[in-house]
Amino acid sequence: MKTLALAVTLLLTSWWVSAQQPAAPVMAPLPDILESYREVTTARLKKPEPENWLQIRGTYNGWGYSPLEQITAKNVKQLQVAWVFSTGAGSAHEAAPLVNNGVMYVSAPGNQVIAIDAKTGVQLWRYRREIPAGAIVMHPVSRGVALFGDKVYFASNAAVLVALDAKTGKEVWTATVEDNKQGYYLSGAPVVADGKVMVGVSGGEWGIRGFVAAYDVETGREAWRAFTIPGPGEPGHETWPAGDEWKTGGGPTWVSGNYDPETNLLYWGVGNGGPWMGDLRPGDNLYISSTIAIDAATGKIVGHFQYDPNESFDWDEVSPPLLIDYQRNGKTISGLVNVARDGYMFFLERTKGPIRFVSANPYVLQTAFKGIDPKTGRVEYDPEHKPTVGKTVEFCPMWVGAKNWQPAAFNPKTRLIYIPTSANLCSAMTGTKPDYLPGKTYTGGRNVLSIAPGADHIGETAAWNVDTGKKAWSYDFANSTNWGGVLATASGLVFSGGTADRMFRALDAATGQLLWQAPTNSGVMGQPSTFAIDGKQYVAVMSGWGGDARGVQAQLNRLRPGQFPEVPDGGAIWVFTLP
Amino acid sequence: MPDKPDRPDTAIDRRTICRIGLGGVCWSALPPVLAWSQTDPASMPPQKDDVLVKVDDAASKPLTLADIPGGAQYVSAWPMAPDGKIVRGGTRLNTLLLIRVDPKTLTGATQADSADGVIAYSGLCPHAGCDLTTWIPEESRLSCDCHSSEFDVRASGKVLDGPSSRPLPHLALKLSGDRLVVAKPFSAAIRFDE
Repeated sequence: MKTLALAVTLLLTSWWVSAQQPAAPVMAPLPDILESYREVTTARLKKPEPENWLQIRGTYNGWGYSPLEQITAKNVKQLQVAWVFSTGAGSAHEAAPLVNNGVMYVSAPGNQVIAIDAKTGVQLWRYRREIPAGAIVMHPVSRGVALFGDKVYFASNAAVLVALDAKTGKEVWTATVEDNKQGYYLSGAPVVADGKVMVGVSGGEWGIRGFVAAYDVETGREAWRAFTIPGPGEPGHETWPAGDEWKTGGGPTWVSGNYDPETNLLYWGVGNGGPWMGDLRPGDNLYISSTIAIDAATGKIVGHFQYDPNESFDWDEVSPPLLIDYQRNGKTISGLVNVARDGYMFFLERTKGPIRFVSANPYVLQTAFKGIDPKTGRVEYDPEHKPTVGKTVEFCPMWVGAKNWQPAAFNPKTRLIYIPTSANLCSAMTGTKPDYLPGKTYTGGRNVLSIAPGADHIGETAAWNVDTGKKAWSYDFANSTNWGGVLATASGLVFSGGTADRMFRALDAATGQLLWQAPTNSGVMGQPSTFAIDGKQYVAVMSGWGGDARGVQAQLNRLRPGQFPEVPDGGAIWVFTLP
Repeated sequence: MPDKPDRPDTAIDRRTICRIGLGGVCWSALPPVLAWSQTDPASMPPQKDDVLVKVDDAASKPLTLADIPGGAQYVSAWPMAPDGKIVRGGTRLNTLLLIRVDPKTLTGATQADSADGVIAYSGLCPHAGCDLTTWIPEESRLSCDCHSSEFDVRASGKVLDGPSSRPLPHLALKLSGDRLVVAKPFSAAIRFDE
């Protein structure tokens, strides 16, 4: 009996002891779709399979073009919603949904990355990174993630680059890119090339000194940092005043650059100067409002083209040029085509280093330039229309540009580049001299919006031929701006949203005819992508209005009360397919 | 009251002090960095009976009526604990703009919450959190450079234009002698639409 009692006691004790141990975490088995995750390689990034969308613009050249042809001009009217996924966040939803073998990776406001079964819309994992109270994040958005190896790279808002395990969403490493308290924050998608992950910075309204930084893809160790404002002794520093202006001169880099694998050069756009008024920093101020060519191996800036010397309009030229070979005078130019915020389209030549000017023409009403030197591409400002301290100056296009950061797309079959533009908006800007204080807004300009005299519309999706430099067609929006990135497909379609009516639409790539549209929950500010699973093509886009689009909409509503109502807030991912 | 109260790094840094040359005073005399935290007294929201100090005043002298000139000028300020030991500049959420107008022109809550015409507004736009830097007294407008939200200074920060969905929060003030002192917490939470 004693033995039995002892045995029971031991058993109970053993149970009690084991019950006090923390339970081992129960690891749910990975879904098959993640278990069989296909790693992203350099070869795949250089030549992605048609069914996958591995980078925000699909390919390194920035075309936003897909070879998929299942959805056509004939059947696009049948498009229907495959699934919708709410992000739970407000503000502008600007990312491109990436898809790798059926797994979608997308970032959203709220500092989050979501992995989704791209066929069903079922969440696979979700990563959220807390934003510290009081963090400086003027635009709490993300323009997408990057994929490489077994990792997902995310530029989180409070200036921390994060590498996630693509299968689990767990952090692999983090790297603090800069001090958020000084006004540096992140909003662009990283770019992976040459074994590194590159990221640009936001903060051009906070007196930063912009840069692009590269990190080892495996360890997160910083490889190089290319400042967009040269320091003392570096070429270009002489374009700044002799004082400390270069230390706070702006030059943010908040949109991902495009990349030429043949030369290993990144083409990255550089934003506005700080403070806004150029007369406070006399000189050209390299490399603000420029495209810079960065050697991905070393971080050395080996070429540049400055669109707006001594920029004074808040014209961030952050949108990178598309790598397009085009015809000029019977010759093929290894080219760069940049649809600039300043209202001109620039045709440039890329080399192993320097960027050469070829030609430029306005694509909207432009009042700030008297002209452009046909040999060098240097603009000549009209002093009556260049903002300075203490004056109110009118200019077109407005301060957020004819085309903001939203990317244009290129279809090599039509030879057309498709441009989202708020073509007919202008600004009256009153320049002031702000004091620099670390962590405080460093701008110095009040903008009052106006509609260009005689304009019969505001926004456009416009198509221009890259070989002739001529406009082919325009789909006009009488009462809306256009903030939508563009997707082109080999089947002759152009997808984009961008308008205040919440529509996502398909246009005929050759004619601009409206073929299909569907309303979404909010305004579409995302970059559409397309992919295929089990032989079926899908089109994905994020809807969610905010930021500059909300600001301009409010000013338009003051100009024409009732015609520009507030656009509903809140974000979602929409995926469409044929029945 | 100590001569040099604690001021966290976000209030202003060494480079700034040296750059703007406040009598040659540099930041080296100031204490080490304090972390952002709601329990950190430097990051607590303004408290009743806090005094106010200029953001770029290394001596942290409590502000009086006479320090707020009115007209086109405004004063950027932080709250400071009444014992003078802690400047609450540990978070930019405490950024204040002090504006002085004719008290007879004020309306609504702003009238009751001003101290002889001095009004304390949050310095951050409720739309996207930019610092408000453009004050247009003839139109009674505080304007945000970033997205053009504009607020009526004489009418409780009412939205006059732009994308902000909410009025600009203000902080009720009172006078203790000639010193400006916090009477009540912010009229609304300091948060942003975006």
